Amino acid sequence: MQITVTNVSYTYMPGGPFAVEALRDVTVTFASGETHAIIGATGSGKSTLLQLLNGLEKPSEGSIDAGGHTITADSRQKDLFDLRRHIGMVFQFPEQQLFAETVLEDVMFGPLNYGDDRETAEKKAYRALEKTGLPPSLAERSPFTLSGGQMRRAAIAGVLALEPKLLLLDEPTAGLDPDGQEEIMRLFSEWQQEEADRTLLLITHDMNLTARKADHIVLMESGRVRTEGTPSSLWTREDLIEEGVLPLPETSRILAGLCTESKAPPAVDAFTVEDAADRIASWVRKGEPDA
Amino acid sequence: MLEHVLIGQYVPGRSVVHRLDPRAKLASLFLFMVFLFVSRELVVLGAAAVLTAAALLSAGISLRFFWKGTRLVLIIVALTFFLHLFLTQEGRVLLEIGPLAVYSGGLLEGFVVGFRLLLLIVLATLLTLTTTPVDLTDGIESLLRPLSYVRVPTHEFALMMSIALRFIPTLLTETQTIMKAQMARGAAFSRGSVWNRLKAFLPVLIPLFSQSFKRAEDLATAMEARGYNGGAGRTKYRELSWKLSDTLIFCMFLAFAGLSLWTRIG
Ligand SMILES: Nc1ncnc2c1ncn2[C@@H]1O[C@H](COP(=O)(O)OP(=O)(O)OP(=O)(O)O)[C@@H](O)[C@H]1O
Ligand SMILES: [Mg+2]
Repeated sequence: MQITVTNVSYTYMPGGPFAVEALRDVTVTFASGETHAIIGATGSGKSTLLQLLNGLEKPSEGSIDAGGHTITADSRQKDLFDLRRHIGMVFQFPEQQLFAETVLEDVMFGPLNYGDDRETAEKKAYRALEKTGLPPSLAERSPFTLSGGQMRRAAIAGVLALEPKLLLLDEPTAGLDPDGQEEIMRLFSEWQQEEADRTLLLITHDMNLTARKADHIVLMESGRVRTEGTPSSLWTREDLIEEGVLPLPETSRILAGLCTESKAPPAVDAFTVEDAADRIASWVRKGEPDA
Repeated sequence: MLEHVLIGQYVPGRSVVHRLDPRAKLASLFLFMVFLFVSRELVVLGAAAVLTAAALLSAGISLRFFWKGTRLVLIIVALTFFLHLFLTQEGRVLLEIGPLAVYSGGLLEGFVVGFRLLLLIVLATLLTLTTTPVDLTDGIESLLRPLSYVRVPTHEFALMMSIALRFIPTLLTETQTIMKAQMARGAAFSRGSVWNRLKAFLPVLIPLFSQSFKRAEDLATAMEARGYNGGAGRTKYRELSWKLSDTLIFCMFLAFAGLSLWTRIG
C-alpha cells in the first residue's frame, strides 16, 4: 500500500498556551512493498506523523492519500475506520494495550471489530500467534501472566491478526534485550516478505537496524522532513554526519575510524558485518583504504 | 478532546493571581464557596460575579483557552439549571409542555443555582490554573495543620492529594494512547448503542487500571527507597510567605462574606 503525504501540518491543542506545532509542511511518499524508516531526534514529530498515517489524528492542514482513502482535516470517523482496516499499528510498548481475559481473546479483538465471525477470527488469531512465535498453549492464559517479551509478542499478534497491508511500528524494539530486538525485527521482516505489496514503516533510534533493514529513510528535524533517501545515499552525506543529526551505524563508525587513521577519504557505506568485513579485507589486500 | 480538560493543569505565569500565597487563594475560595450559597440577593450575586471576573481578568489567562477548557463542565451547569427549572413548583405557571410545567419560581431558582455553580467552577478552575500542585498541597497542608493535633493525618492527606493532582494529566495522556491503540484495532467509541459504547471502553479501562496500580507500586517503592517515612520531622524546601497583597485579597473575600451574611440576616 502506497502512502502519499502532501503539505501536512499538525498542531496539538491549537489556539492555547500549550499549542505545539508538531509537524510543518511535510511532504513525503512511502512506496508500496518497501521498508521505510523514520528517524530523527526526540520530539521531531515521528510519532505524530505515524498517527496521522493511520487516521488516528487528522492533519491540521494538507492531505494524506493512503490506499485510495484521503485523510484531510475534515475526514469523517467512518472513513477513517474503513481506512484502518488495512493498516496495522504497533504502538511503543504495545504490551500496555492488552486487556482481555485470555491471549486468544485479545488477539481476536481486532478481527471481531472488523466484522469477522468468531470462527474466522479465531483462525486468524492462531495464525498471528504462530507468526509471532508464541506457542498455542499460551493462547488460553491471561495476558497479564506472560513475561514482558511474551506480552509484546501477544500484542503484536493482536495487530497482525488484522492482516494489514501496511504496518506502522513506533519503536518496536524499545526496552528489549539485543536478542529480543533481533527476533522481533526478524518477525516483521518475515511478515513483509510473505507478500509483495506489504509495506513496513518503522520509527527507530537504532541506526544499525535502520542501515540494515531500510530501503528508504526519512530524517525528521523539528517537525519537518530534513532529508530522505537510501541508507547509502544518506550515510555518504558528510554535511549531515558532521552536523550530528545523523549518527553513524556501528559498521560505518569502524570504517570511518579506519579512514581517518589512514587519512583516506571516508567510505563508510557498508551496513552489515559481512559487507564491512569485505570492505576492510579489500583494503588490506590493496594496502590502504582507497589507496 | 480530552486534552482540553483544564482540571489539575497549571499554566505558568507571573500575574497577581499567580503570585498570591496559596493559603490566601484557598481560604478565599473557601469563603466564597460558603457565602455564595448563604444569600440569594442580587447584590450578593453581583458582587460574586465582579470578584470572579476580576480574578479571571487579572490572571492573564487567555479567555479563549479558558472557555475551551471549561465548556465541558458547563454541561453540569446546564443540567442543574434544567433540573431546577422543571422540578421547582413555585410562583406562576409560565409554560406548559405536556406533563411538564415551568413555574416562574423554577426559572428564578434555575438561574440562581446555575449562576452560583458557574461562578464557583470558574474560580475553582482558576485556582488550579494559577497555582502549582506543590503550592496547592503546601497550602492545604498548612491550613489543615491545626487538625493534626487531634491526630488527623493531614500530611498524608496532602500528599495523597498532590499525587492525585500530579497524575491527572498523565492519566489523560495515557487514556488517549490506549484509546488510539484500540482504535487502531478497530474499536469504535462513538458508534452503536449506548450499551455498546460503554462496552467499548472496557478495553481502555482495564489497561488503564492495571497500569495505574503498577505505577502506584513503583512510586511507593521509589519513595521508600529515598527514605520517605511520613510527615513527622520533615522540613520544607519551599516556605510559604504571606504578604500584604494576600491580606488585601483575603479581606475582599471577607467583605463579600460579610455582605452575604448581612443580607441574609438584615
Ligand atoms: N498528546 C500531545 N499533546 C501535546 N503535545 C504533544 C503530544 N504528543 C506529542 N506532542 C509534542 O509534539 C512534538 C512531536 O512529538 P512526537 O511524539 O511526534 O515526537 P517523536 O519524534 O515521536 O519523539 P520521540 O522520539 O521522543 O518519541 C513534541 O514537541 C511533543 O512535545
Ligand atoms: Mg515517539
